[in-house]
Amino acid sequence: MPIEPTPRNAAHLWRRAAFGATPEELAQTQRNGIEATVAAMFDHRRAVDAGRPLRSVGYSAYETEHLNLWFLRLATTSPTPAIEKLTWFWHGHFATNLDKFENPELLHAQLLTFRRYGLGRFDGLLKLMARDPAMILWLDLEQSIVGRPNENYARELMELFSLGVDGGYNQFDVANAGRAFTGYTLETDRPPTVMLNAGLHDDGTKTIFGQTGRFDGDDVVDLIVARPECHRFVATRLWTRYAGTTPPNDVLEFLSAAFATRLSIKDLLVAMFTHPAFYADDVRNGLVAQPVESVVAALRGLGIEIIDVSTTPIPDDEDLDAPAGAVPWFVPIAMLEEMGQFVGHPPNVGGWPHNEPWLDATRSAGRLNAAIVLAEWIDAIDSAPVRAIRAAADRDPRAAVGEMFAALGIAEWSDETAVAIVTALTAAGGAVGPLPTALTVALTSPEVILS
Amino acid sequence: MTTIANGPAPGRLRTRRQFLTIAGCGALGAAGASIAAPVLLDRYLGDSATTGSVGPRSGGSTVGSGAPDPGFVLVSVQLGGGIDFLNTVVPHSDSRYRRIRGDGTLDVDGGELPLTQLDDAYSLYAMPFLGEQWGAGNLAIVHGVGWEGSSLSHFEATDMWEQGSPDLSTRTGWLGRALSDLAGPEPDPLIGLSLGEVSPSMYAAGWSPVGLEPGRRIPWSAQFREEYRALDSVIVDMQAPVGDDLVSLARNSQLDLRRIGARLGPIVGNPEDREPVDDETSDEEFAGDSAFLDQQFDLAADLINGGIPTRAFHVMHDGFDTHANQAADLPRLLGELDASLRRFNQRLGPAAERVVVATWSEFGRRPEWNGDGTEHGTAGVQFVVGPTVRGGHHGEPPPLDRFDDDD
Repeated sequence: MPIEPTPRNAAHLWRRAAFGATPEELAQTQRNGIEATVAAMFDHRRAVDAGRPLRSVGYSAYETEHLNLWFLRLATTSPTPAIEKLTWFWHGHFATNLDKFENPELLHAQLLTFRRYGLGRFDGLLKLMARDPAMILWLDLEQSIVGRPNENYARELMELFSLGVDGGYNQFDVANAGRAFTGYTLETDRPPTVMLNAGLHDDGTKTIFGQTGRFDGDDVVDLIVARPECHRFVATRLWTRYAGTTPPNDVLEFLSAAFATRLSIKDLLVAMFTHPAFYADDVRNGLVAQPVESVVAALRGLGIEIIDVSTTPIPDDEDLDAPAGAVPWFVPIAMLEEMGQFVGHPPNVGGWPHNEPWLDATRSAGRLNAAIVLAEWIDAIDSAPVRAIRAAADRDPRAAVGEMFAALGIAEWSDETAVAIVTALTAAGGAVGPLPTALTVALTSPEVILS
Repeated sequence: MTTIANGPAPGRLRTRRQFLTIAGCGALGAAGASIAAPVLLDRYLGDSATTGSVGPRSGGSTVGSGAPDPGFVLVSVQLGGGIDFLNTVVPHSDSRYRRIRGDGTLDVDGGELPLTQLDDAYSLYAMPFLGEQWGAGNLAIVHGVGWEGSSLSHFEATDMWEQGSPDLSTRTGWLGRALSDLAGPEPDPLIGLSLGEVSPSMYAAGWSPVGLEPGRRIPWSAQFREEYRALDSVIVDMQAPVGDDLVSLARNSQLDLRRIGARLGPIVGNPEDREPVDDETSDEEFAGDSAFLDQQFDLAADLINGGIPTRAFHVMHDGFDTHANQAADLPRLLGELDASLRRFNQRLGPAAERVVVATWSEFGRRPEWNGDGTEHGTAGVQFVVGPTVRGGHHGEPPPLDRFDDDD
């Protein structure tokens, strides 16, 4: 049975599968239906070229800014934001921190791999990860050779990437898989590539999941993806991160089966976003937006352009002279810094935390500070959504509430939040004007904090 | 039975098993294994708070006379990644050490490595301050810490440590449970603070832990409230929802911030105003890690000396997962910890009398050298340090000729 394309269902889909919709996109979904919208969202033929490689001038905090601005610009301007959101999901799944190898370009290449292959077959993606320079540096794989294997990659491959900690493997399987993943060496050409070096590979027999053979890494992946634990793990992971909740058993069985047929991530995503359980109230109120997601949604919604780092050098200092009608280049970076999340810097291989930790005091302070960073510029912004908000605020504060949430792709909000925004627009006092105050209230409301 | 705590009222100590029952942990210890942190909490949080009989020694309080007993403070330091006990507390006189560690053996006789000989059996690697504390009787070393049947997963083992539960059935943290008992029905939200990047589930109980990352601007100082007067009045007028659904938590996260920000702001200040941290102790390319550890301890010291009634801090020191490059990374990590502890001790001043630092790591590492490092293993080591700690060896070291499967 199709999902009814009500405004709230359409808005929910766009906020979760992508970064929120424009009013035009919502209207289109209401006309075409949820199913057709989902099909179009994940149509990779609509994806654009992701831009030229990042300049590589060696590592610095400056280069992390390049990487983040590149991703933010892609996510805010892309005609396929759902594919960019999926790229972001995979970054959290195969969580690689560039601090260990200090080269944002390798992380950039990994993100492009997610973007290109992230909708395809899961076994293919896993095989690419053992050949990904950033990944093998991150999990010490390039130091693992015959006679002195290390188990780091093999263990995280099973525990975090494909089977889960209760995924039916044991320490013996990890040790044998560790031997299969020997000899993956890094060639430091430009660009760096990974080669399977036969002389450094352990080609003896290994026993994994009770099967014995002269396995290499690709064979281990084939053994993993044949297991039902893998299908359930991948379905659970996608549901948890997109829906926010623990999947109900029947939903999990349905999604695992949809995935197992072809090991296709796209099949799984389509099954998830067209399932009635995804539109239930617990899911609707079940996910805290991560900072990167919040920044993309706010900038995309308010029509704020981000500097194109592949063509424009980042200004040398924090130049306060913003281009007319826009915000200075560093505003999105300052927002991410306040909120404590940068592309390329997950806290560990388990990825970023989920839900409640994002509501602790540090993150709440960061969210408020980030809202203020953006809101301070609202009076200077000359985009269509901000003009509409400003015009409504001059006319009727209640109408301004509707314009703000429309810009952010949010279809429903509480009376309490509406009253708070109206009060902010009409109250006097302090050094900060009414519109920035009102936007700060909106950006720190539960409606925006939850995705 | 391992009992570490020592103080003016030793007769009041509960046994470890009693504490575990109180905190709802269940018995975690298996043969040859122990979890030492709860022992401490029994003594340092439970007793002094309920009776006030175990207050700080003279000069130990920065609170004026007539103020309530500020109680002991636990600083829990997570050594993330799984610590290699063999090259940290080195059994230098045991002939089996060299045999099993092979190329990874530390040369205890060469005189070139920063080793502090503790006694006939053990030397401490790269930690001169802890060596001094050992000499003063303030350092307890807990050997053979772990449990049988560990999956050797960082994340599962960390969850077990934080819940104090071998089957992850409690879904709350042992420290949160202990603090909830201590705090009563209306807990001060600042009673437990997490200073590292990731808020540990160790705290999670009836109330949300306050995560406070160093270097972050905490809003709602007096100046902030003046500048954002309209925003302030909107927040102050808002009704706090009751409930633990995410919508209520999201609203309350901002309302709570308004309340605690006003208290923390004057102590935490602006990050740009805080004195810069000395990076000299660390390898240049990892300077950030060392500075981050110092910043966490600085913040803890300032909050303790500033009169914030926090009873437990969580501090994060990550990077002990030394599958590769252990020869360089382990002494660096231990040295950073040691230097930070020295700095913390100095910054605390007299308040150090009522502070206990306890390290923990999700597991240990296997004794065999993999050529460049070590793999995940069962038994680890814990340090407990402070003026009221009974120094010495506690627990049983894992025998070097008999291992658990795969440990």
